[in-house]
Amino acid sequence: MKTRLKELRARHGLNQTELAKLAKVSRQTISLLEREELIPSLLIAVRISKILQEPVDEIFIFEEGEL
Amino acid sequence: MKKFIVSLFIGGIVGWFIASGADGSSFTLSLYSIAFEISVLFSAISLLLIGMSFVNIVKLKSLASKEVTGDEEDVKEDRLYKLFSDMTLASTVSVILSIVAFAVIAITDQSIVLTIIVAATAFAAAMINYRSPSYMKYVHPERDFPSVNDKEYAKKLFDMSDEGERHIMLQGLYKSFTIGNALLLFAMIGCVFYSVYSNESQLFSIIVMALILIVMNMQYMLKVRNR
Repeated sequence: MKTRLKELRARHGLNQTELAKLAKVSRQTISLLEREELIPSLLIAVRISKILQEPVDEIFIFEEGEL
Repeated sequence: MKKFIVSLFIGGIVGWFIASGADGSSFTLSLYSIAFEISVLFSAISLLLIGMSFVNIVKLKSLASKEVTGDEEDVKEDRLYKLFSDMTLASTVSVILSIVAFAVIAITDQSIVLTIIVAATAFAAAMINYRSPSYMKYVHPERDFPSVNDKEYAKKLFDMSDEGERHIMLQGLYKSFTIGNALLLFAMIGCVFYSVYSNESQLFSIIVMALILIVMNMQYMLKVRNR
């Protein structure tokens, strides 16, 4: 899984801690997601999608072989 | 390279055991003659770690009170978490070392002054270690953590962690589980060799280690199997 989370977060002027608070997760979770070390649950993916106002598949990008 | 060095080290120990026993002679690692030095050394390290824990608690409180914005907020949170982790590790190791120091004193009958110093060190280390989870509130002031006196403290803490934190915990616990298994197995084998060659039975330790290994693996496998 690839992610544009860092880029989109920066575009919204949010730091990891702020995004974490808005998404009701820890900063560690945001950090892991940005480093592509964790695939988010559907709930967290949707929460982040709402905050960043982008579709889930524009933030978390799966390659063809992964789907 | 790392594997080679570990293999070399283990090979060396096994070779030494075999060579020592080959001529029919026995050896003993007597700790009685250096019991005083061992207990003083372990207590000193324990005190040093207690001091480090205190310093980290002060740093933690000081940093937590600082107001920052932007990317500095992330740096601050990261630093707070590391300070908390270092403090917890230092206090845990301090408890273990002070227990060992106390055990050496109890077994080898040392002076009353040393006994009191080591007992006080062990007590201080245990107190800091017991209180250490409560400092988590400086890392995450927005969270409502359970009291450390809560009987279900560990379960409640696990339940309130999110998926990223659980992912990190799983990685850490899995690594320590596999290392713990291997080290206990090596320790058992080491104790068997030591018992045979030194004629000093370590059977009690071997049985305790075997029971710990069985309980650890049963706990893990039953949890996984019954899901």
